[in-house]
Amino acid sequence: MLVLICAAPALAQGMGISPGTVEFDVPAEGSATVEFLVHDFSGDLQISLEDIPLTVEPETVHVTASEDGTPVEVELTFYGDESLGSQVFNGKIRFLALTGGTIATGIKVRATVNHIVAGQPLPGEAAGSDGFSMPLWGWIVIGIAALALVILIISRMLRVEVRRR
Amino acid sequence: MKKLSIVFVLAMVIGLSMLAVPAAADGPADYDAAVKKAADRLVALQGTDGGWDWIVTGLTAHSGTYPSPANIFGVTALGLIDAYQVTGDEAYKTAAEVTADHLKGLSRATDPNVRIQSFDYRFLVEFSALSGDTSYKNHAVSEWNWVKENVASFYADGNQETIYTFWYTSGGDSHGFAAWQAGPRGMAALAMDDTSWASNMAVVLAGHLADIAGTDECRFIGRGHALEFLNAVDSTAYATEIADLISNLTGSQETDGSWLGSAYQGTVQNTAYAVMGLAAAGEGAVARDGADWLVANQTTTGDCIGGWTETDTEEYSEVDSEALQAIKSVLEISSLVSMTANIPAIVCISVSPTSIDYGTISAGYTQDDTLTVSNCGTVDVLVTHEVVGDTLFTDNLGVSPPSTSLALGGSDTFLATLNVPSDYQAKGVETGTIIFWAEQQ
Repeated sequence: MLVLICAAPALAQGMGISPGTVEFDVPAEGSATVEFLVHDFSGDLQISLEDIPLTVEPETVHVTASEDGTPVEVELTFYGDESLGSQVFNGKIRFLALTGGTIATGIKVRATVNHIVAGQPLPGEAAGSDGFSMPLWGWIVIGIAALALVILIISRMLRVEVRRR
Repeated sequence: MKKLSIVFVLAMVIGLSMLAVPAAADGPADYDAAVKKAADRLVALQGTDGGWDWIVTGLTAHSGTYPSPANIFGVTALGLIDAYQVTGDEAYKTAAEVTADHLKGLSRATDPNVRIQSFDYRFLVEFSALSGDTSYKNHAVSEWNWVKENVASFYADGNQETIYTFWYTSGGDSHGFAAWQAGPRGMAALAMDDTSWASNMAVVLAGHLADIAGTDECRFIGRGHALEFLNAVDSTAYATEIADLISNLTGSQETDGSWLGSAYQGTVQNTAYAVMGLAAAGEGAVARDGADWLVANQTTTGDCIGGWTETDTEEYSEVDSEALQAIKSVLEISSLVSMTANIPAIVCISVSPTSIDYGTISAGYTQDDTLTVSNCGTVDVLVTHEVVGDTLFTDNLGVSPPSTSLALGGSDTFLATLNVPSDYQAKGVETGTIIFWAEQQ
């Protein structure tokens, strides 16, 4: 049996995206916009998310490279989802160059997305965790109390000493 | 119970005081405010002749004893120019003008008792620039040329070793004192565009830096002046000396930021000139520590607000101004615009060729092709691949290696092998795509 494999003609081109890693906050009840730069590419870019269960728009964006090599700005909007609660998503934003050829190039940008529900701390920021920071007045109260306790103990010990004599 | 209450109150007081101290120390020093307070004090103490009493302890105005000491006009008034530059307060410029006019009226050519000091020349030049009136600088240059010509044995260009030796001797065999004189005189020559004289002075001074003894009372002031001067003359040619001076001054700074003198005022003055030298050399951090000490020790209460004095120590107008100038010198380098640029990492790959055509291939046959993936970005990348399309490819196309790391500018080859199973049933045209993914490592 013969099998014919056809390849659609496509021009070779590299594609670059910057930055290579991002971290941003997305309010669960809203959205966040993040800007990327596309280098050395003309055509359609398909945007998708890996391990980030949110919605991104646009899903496809057309890019025309400038003649002087200036990168092209692409703005992506990430929409929150209240049902997911406050979470940190460590995933990737994928930019796939749609050239129509049999060989394609894509860039994965590592992304840390802090998905925040108002009033609901992110994991790791809950009271008692590593992210907890004592307010100044708390340290003041603890410091005074500790000092008072030490002085009280010393004064008691001294009184005991005197009684023994 | 009463004792317990006392203990608790005591604990409260101690606890709160312990908390209050670091809070005050952590705050950034307000250099602008310190400069203004010091300048206000100088203006209040200035006499009608444009000068100051040398010792101003407890004074709130000039004592009225005239003439004011001749050797502190310029050095003190330089603080007024600095204060005007920091605050823009015309009162300081007006006060400086009184001093400048006084100095412009002095001429050794007509009065053999006149001695124009190094700082006087510099002050006149700086005030000339500030006011836009060139007559002040012209007078300074004229007096300098007269001295060079008529006191040639000391001041003629080429006799710098002689004048240095004179300073060394008159300072009680102190190379620190000689440097204290040589640096400012060299700076004055530079200000008056006499670069030849300044350059030759720098050669002599540089040759004696190693002679400054570790016990020399004037070593910090001398080194501070030398640092400022050599840096101004030629920071490249004197890079070694400058590095030594920086190292020496930095190494002798007290933990509180000061440079210790035999008395309090000595400490203030040492610190002032060490800070000015280090600031001129761009040693911001260590200079800032010194300036912080000056700000922290400025008098903030009583009649002498803005000055530098301690209980049972004298206050000197000259030293007040020198401390002001030191703080301003740090303010100056803090005002430099630092530039930063964030160059984002670009993740980029290119693949060649752009397509593979396996042509006509029969079931049971294998065909492979080679692809080259290159890193065209600015960071190392990890390259993986994915095959999408018809099942012929998704199930039977192998790409080796499965992934690779590409350093900056690097490239690697992949072998794409299509192994059509012998029992493959489908026929016709099938298509697929190999996607090469890159991500920052």
